[in-house]
Amino acid sequence: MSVTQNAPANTLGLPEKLRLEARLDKARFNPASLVLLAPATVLLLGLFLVPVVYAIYLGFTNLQLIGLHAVNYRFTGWANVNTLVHDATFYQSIWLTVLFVVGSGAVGATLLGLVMAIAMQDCLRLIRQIAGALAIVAWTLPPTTIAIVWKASSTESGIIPTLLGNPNYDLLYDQAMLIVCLANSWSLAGLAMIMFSAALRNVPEEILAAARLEGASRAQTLFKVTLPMLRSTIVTSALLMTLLTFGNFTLVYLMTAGGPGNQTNILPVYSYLQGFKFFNLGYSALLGNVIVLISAVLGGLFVLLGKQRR
Amino acid sequence: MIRFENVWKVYGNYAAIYDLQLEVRDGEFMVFVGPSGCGKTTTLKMLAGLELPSFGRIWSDDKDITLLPSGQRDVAMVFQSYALYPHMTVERNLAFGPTVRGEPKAEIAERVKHVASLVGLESLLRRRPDELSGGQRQRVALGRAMIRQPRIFLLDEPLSNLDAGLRTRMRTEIAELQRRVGVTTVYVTHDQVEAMTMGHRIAVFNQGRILQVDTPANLYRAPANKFVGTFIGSPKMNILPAALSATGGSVDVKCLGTEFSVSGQYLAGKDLPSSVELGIRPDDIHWTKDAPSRCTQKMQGIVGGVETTGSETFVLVNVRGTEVNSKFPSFAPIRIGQTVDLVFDPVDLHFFDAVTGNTLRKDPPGQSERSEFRPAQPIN
Repeated sequence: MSVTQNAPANTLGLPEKLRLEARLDKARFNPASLVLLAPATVLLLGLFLVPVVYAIYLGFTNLQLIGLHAVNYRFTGWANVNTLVHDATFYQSIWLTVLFVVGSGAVGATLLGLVMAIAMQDCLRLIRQIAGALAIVAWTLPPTTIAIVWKASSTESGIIPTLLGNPNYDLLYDQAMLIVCLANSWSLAGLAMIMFSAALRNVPEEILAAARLEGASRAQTLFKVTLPMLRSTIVTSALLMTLLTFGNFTLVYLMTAGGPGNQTNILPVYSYLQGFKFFNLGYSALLGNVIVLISAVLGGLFVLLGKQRR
Repeated sequence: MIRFENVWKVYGNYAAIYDLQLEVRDGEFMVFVGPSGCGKTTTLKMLAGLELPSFGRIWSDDKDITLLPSGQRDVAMVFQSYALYPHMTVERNLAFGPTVRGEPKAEIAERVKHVASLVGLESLLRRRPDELSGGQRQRVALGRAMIRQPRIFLLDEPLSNLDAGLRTRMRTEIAELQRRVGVTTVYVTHDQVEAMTMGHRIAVFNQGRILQVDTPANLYRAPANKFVGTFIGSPKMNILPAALSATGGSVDVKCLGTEFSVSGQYLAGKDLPSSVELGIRPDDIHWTKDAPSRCTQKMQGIVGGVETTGSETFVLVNVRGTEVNSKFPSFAPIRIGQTVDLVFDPVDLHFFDAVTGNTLRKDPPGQSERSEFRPAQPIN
């Protein structure tokens, strides 16, 4: 037996000649592929990585929009971080962000979409199509329109206060966070509904028939069979809604500009205010970095959730 | 007893089921067989309550169950796709029905164990459907249907997704299980071998109608028409064109160059059509060198194809332009292009009306006694 000492044990009984050859079914490296990958690499580096790294750097400088440090800014080390950890508004902002993203996005929009999809599953085709079309229109509306519609209907003499019986009631002022959350859920629910409608159609008819034959009520079938089978769609929808909500700066800013007080001052709004209202671009960039971190954590969390099988 | 009374199922202006009349006796293993699209699954679904008949009534003993919701019919069904709940373990799949019906937990656990041992799933209770093989999934589906000792047990082509070997084994197992448990069973299949081997009685469907309901032996020996004759039995019954002429008490038959007469009592009906089709099974056409002496009628043809299965050889012989399949002894020295002599006994012939396809033959004497079905005694 002439087995080389450092070679792995030849348990397969391969001929010596073959053991030295590269396997055909394993990935092989072709140098020419580097040339083909180069344009994408350059674009990724130039348009994504460099700006991100630069933004991270800016977070540790005293750059301002106008004034003394607008041009002659410098690296200030942990000064911005020090401000951040003592900034009460920042902590409030984090809490509001979580509330907004999870409450109106991950939970609110997903739940609303799911309920609509289930409700429309067995209804008349015409009604289903009209309702579906309306929900999709709500989703495709630009954030400006959504902001105006909701602002107009929730402030004094708007339709919601009128329906509540008091046209002079400024609901948006009184319950700013709630209304902003509702507006966001409302605008995203159409998308969630489309996802759930598709997923519901993929639940095999025979499985539902089997549950029915075994004597399960409609509610039991829904909660014990249908919803568990929609699990991966629910996770996907929650993730998507989270990401879409996180980026929904426009809606909140246009409706309340973070107010009244700081009641709707979510992180993107706070970052904008710091940079463009108070001119602290450096600090604003640091807040932006925090947003990126939170997004990354949330994204990772949902991916993990989706990977878990049970 | 389950009874279909004038049941119709109409889709648009197409009738999937025409005026169905059928009785399924208690404890019986009834098989619905027929080609795809013949209405057998639709009939099963109407019995399960998954489809509503357009007209007619379905009775369970004296109770009208036509419009009863499927959950209240006390039927259990095994679907072709098994329809297992993919997110539940085998154990929870089995326990789902009793759980949603609110039965006591201890009792459910007991029953799950009992059923699991009945279908051989004890070691797989913690697995989920996607971790099981086709045969194991099939057992789960079977166990899930059996866990509640239903009034009727429905199976919709449960073996069609299994490989040939497993299918043969499951065939015996299901039939044996049904005999042991003794529950009224309706089994849908398009495979006549399954139907013949499993059923107490078989209902042959074609194009929305039941053509014949009888025991496997009677279907084979006395098919009511050409469709049943060719559908039941493998390889298929040969259909040969023939001319009839009645002379006194006997009937003369001319078929592919051979002429013979059969007794008139043998054929039903007063006005025999002049042109008929003769049905004869490949097993009943013999090679002259290997024929029983009672075979008197002879025809000659040229071998067009030879199929050997090992235990027997089927030879396609071209007799005056008609392909005749006949059984030869295994590994008979036969070559394509050779001229062979075939013989048969007119007693083995089936006579079908060339227009309607209905049989003209009375039950041959000595074979007409019905092998009476006796339901199994349930053991519980």
